[in-house]
Amino acid sequence: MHVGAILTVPGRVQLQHRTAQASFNVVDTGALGISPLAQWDLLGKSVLDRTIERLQAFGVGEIAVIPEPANPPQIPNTFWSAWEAAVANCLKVDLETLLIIRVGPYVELDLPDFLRFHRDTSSAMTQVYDPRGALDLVAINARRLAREEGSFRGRLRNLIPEHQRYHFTGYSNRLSTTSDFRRLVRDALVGIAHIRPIGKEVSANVWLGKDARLDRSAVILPPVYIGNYCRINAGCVIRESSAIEQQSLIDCGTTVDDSCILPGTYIGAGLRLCGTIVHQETLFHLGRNLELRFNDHKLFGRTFSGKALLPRIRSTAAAPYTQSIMQ
Amino acid sequence: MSTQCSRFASLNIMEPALNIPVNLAAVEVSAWEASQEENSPCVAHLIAPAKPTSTVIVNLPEKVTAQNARSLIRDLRTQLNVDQPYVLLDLSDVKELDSSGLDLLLECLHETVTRDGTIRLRGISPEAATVLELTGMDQILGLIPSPHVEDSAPETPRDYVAETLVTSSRSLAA
Repeated sequence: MHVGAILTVPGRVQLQHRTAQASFNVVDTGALGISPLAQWDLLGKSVLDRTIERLQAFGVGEIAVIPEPANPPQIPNTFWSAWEAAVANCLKVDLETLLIIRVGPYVELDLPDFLRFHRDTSSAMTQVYDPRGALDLVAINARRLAREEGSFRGRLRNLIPEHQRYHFTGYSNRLSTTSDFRRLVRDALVGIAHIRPIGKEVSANVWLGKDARLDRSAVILPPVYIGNYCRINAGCVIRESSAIEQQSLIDCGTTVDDSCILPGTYIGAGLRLCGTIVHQETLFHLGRNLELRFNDHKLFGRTFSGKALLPRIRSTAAAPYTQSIMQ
Repeated sequence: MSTQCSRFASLNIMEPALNIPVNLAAVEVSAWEASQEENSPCVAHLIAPAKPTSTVIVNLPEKVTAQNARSLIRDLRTQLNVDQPYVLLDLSDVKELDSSGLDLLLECLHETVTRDGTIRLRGISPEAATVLELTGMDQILGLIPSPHVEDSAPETPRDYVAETLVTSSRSLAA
């Protein structure tokens, strides 16, 4: 069966884990805004990356990723023209089924079963429903779509009255709030959601990424995830299903409790994080539903990769030299 | 505390360089003077008449950051230059608090304790409460959620020390 997929993603697309075999295109529509929850790293890899990987593993040949505008009520023409072009591109190949997916919710869909249902019912359009309602995950009869006339958007609208419902009872998470994201991480670490952490399980429910460095005095209480190139300094305590994503640094004596630290984040010394998500200078307090932005690198900030650090080292090294010349 | 026995002094200072309004309202209670008055209904009668007690209410501005912390500390030192001050820090307007702001709070605590006084917080914003929790400062400073806490100022100077040591875990949990 020849299947293609068009993924729309709110905000700017940041694909981090492209594989050599990847055959998907990212269409730039100029959509700006902060990266949405589906693009946040979740135990080493974002929901978007995981969705693409699953589609590729299933053998979906044509995949297009289109960034959606940050403010949906005012969808610009650039988005629709990019969407039309992506559909046209997919239909050039003789596809049997076209999947249209809005990557927001995390859904553990049995894709073969869904496509079998779509084929067996001979419907022009099949939409996935979970107990809470419709999900933005639709299978379309691509040949039927190609036969119709007018814009693809119009053709799709004409198919809506004929749509079939596929009722799904597996694990899903809408990922509409930061609390949803935190819940998904917790569910993944305790095994409710089937998300495989990127790293090695060094002891029961403790995953360590590549080159992650932990001080001897740090206390790690499972389940916990510590991503690639992370550093956990002396006296830190990491516990309660916490996840430290790649290239983060937790400074001495800090306790990370029931929290997520997103990639490239520096957490200052002696802090107590409980029920929070921290992304560099921004902290989300889940209990108070509060977003705080810090301009204080003693508390929160970003870590620098080696490439980004080099100009800083150069400028620091050059400073005393400049001073001595001036003297 | 009854207004009959208190002398109210309010200072509205405008930072000329930063243009940040700082409202430091100092309520000075002359308990000794009040105790001399006959049939006065105020609670100051219960305070030991030998030592004057001063309540200082400090309303911190929306931003307490490195930009203005130094000038705020300077103003606070002036205000706290009394014996046994009972300092009420009002953080209800605070939206931004960084490590310099936390230094200010610690400085305030230090100045108060060295003068044998006490410091407490009242009216705390969620933003300030979050930063205090993150840094463990909530364990150091006693939090008072009620905005009318000055009405229940401690009756004897001995109580001040005990109240300073009370941790605020129950206040935050509430």
